[in-house]
Amino acid sequence: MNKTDDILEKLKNTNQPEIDMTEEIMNSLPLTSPRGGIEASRTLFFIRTVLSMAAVWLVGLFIVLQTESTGQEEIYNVENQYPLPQPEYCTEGTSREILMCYLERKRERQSIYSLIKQNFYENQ
Amino acid sequence: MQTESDIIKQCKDGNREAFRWVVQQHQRLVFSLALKMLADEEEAKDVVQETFIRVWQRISDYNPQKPFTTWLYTIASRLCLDHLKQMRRILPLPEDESVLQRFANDEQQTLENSEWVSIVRMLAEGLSPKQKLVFTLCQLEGLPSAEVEQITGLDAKQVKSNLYVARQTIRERLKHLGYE
Repeated sequence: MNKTDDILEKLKNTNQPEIDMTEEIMNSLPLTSPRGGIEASRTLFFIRTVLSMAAVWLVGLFIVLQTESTGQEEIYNVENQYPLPQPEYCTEGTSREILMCYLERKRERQSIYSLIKQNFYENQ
Repeated sequence: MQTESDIIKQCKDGNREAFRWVVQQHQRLVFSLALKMLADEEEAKDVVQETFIRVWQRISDYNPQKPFTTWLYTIASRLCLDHLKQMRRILPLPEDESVLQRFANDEQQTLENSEWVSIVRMLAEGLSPKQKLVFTLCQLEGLPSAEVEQITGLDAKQVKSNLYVARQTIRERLKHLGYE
């Protein structure tokens, strides 16, 4: 056996270092017990699951509402496809002829107000 | 009379007095490993404290089929490796050589904590953290290879090679100091 082995063997058989940190360690322990920790983590897990489900539900709700509002826009577009009748102007002939033509067409067509009033009473 | 497994079961139920017994029983073992790994008494005390806090927090994960000391060593050695990463390089001081010389030549069988630090600083210089861990567990703590494998997560071949390199490095160092 050489000197290195002697020293290493001697170190192995030498006493372990001394220490007493019992009070220090006990005072630094967290107040929650190990089991309490597990219960806390279970509660956190439950809350996380519920929040995740709520988040997914909200996203779903948002998508559904978006889809519905898009449908309404389409309805408005349909309405826009059928605009209210615009007055047709007479553009040809002499000034008198144009005036007479305009008065004649005006007499033939009911006014918008009376049209709305008529529709209103019809729907009642 | 209560066995260690009974006491650990009580610790799992949150019994602090049972845990006090665990601390009293095993703190020296953890401090010994930490002091030899880190070669710094204050850092070693920090590791002891952190180890037992972690043991208290995770005692429900402990598998009673395995020895408690193996699990304790595993936690402590990981914390030592973490501390080694954060620490500056450990360099021997001029007075360390005289401590080693005195230890090598005398018949003394006891060492003060500061003397342990000096000797470890002298011997372990130039070892990688892994080599230092394997050397400390196998050579200084006297643990069997199978237990060292469980603690470090290394296989038998890796433990053997790390120990061989560590011993060779220390042999070279002692030779350089005139001990061969």
